Amino acid sequence: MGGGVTVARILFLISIFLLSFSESALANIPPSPQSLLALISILPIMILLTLLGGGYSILKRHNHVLIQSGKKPWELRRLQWTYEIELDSARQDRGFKIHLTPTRFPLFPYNYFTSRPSYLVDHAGNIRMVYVHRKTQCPMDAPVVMRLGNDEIQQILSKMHQ
Amino acid sequence: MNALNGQKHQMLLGPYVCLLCFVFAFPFLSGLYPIVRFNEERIDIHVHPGHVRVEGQYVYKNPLPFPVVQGFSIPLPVDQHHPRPVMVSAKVLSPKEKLLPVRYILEKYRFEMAFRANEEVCVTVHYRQQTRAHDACYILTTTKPWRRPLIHGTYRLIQRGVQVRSSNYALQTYEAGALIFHKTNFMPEKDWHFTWEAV
Repeated sequence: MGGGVTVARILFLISIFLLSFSESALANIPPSPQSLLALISILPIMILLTLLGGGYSILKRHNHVLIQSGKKPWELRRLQWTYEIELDSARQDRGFKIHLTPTRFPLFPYNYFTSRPSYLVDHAGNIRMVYVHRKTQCPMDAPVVMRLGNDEIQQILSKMHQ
Repeated sequence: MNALNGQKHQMLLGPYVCLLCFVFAFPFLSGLYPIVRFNEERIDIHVHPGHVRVEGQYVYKNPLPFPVVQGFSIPLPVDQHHPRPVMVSAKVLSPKEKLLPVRYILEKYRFEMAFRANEEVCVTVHYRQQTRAHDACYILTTTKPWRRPLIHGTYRLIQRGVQVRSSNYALQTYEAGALIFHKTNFMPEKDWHFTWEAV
């Protein structure tokens, strides 16, 4: 009988674990492509702001500009809600890096079942990505998953001005 | 004593039922075991010099006279020359247009779909993949787990500033800049590999 009770407890714990996992996996993880779409849509403005100089402070200062200038301001709000945006600009050579590091994850141990993309964008339009289980910056040697050419950036800018 | 035993048995029943329900439903919800039938697909691959953009349309039918939920995972070709695809999205096209939330769980993009009794649903899946060399692959062999051949499949390469050089499935010219092959009663034995060069 004692064995039966132990088995019941184990089954109960397994059930709770699996149900919690379903809950965390289905409810707390935002759909994956949204963050990249949001990043791409605001990238030209970030580039412009970076070229103006000032890095993260200017991003913060011009937050309202960023929000008002996009046709879909919710994209940026959503991005800021789930990601830490860090602008690393070098004004002399006009190069820059933007780190988009995910901040919201399910609780341990469920974060190991799901993962979220961490991005690094450079001034050449290379978007690097790795999937992470906890708040981790995308390394410089991560694979390039997307390369935005000048024509694509122009397209995004023209869409914004429509 | 008997009443006490009865209470203990009742206490045991709850978790068992919970777990049994989950164990029963898990293979279907996770897409490990198919409930619905995979009947048709139409794949358009836009080939650019440095990347491919894949637009797939898939037709599924619930053969059962009651509603079901089916889990799907999106098979993506990833190796050292082909990084993980991005902008992976899924949308129901018919009977009613609806965006499907795609989630990255246990190293795979996944989504779920509800089917009404005997309902046929057309879904579209899009993604973009960067390519280091001028070659790419579309995974066809994942039709096998559906256990039935496709009634019909159409596969198209749309050349965007490139010239397709080779394909392991014979291609015909469809229209300017597009190459195509059709299959009926198709149970693929190999994935689709193709190469190109920039023009």
